[in-house]
Amino acid sequence: MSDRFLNKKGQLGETMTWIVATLVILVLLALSLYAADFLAKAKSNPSSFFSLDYSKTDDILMDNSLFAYFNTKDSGIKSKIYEDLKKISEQDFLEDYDFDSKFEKLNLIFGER
Amino acid sequence: MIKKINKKGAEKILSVYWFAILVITAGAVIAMVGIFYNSPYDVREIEANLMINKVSDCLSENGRLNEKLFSEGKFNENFNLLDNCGLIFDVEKDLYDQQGNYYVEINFYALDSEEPVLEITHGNFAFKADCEVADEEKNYKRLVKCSERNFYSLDYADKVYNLKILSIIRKTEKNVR
Repeated sequence: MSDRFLNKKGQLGETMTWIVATLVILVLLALSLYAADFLAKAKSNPSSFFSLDYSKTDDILMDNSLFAYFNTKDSGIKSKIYEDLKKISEQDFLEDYDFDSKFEKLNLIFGER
Repeated sequence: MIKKINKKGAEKILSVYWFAILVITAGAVIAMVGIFYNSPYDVREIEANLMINKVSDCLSENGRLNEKLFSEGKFNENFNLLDNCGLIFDVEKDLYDQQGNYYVEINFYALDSEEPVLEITHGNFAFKADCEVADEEKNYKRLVKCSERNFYSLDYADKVYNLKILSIIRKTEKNVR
């Protein structure tokens, strides 16, 4: 009688282990699915951390403008261009663009002419 | 003998259980990959900036305006942007509809003037209105993406111009879901 009772307790314990294990697996899978959905939504949002970054160290438009600046003779126009370029270089997408160092490099080249 | 049969039954049930777990896990992994890769990257803003780079590179080199922009000492009103800059706007037009996917507008301003001395446009002009809405309300993901930049360049007589380029990309079907 007592043997049979002990056996039942053992069987119940083992079943509980399997049920808990199954639940853990299902919860982990559900969390992974949720994470995949979250990442998928985040990558299509341009302002999110996961989206493609296009900050750059080089910029064709800024380079063109700097060449125009150094080829201009009128000092009034030069200062106007410089102020505008300085303002543009402070924008987010040009945060890696080192305006001052580019300016100095070109200043050395054009100054020697 | 009874014990042996019992063990075999338990093993069969366990095998079915493991198979079910395997199928569920595999299904979840496939679903995860599907969800992640079915959602496209929105590269329209980058593409709009690439178009600006391409156009600026074509119109001005080393701070000097392209000679083809001038004819007999004046701005050439018939300057063909697409031909001269190697741009093709008809790409993928048949795939979706006839409204096209691009619009580009370049305004040449003399430094002492508010009015452009030359305006070059190509593509679907209707996108420009969408662009203003899209700027005000960032939630309109299905509208066009716009990018506007300006740069300076000199003409043959060393006169400075401020060139403003507006670049618009639609391509909603490929970039938004």
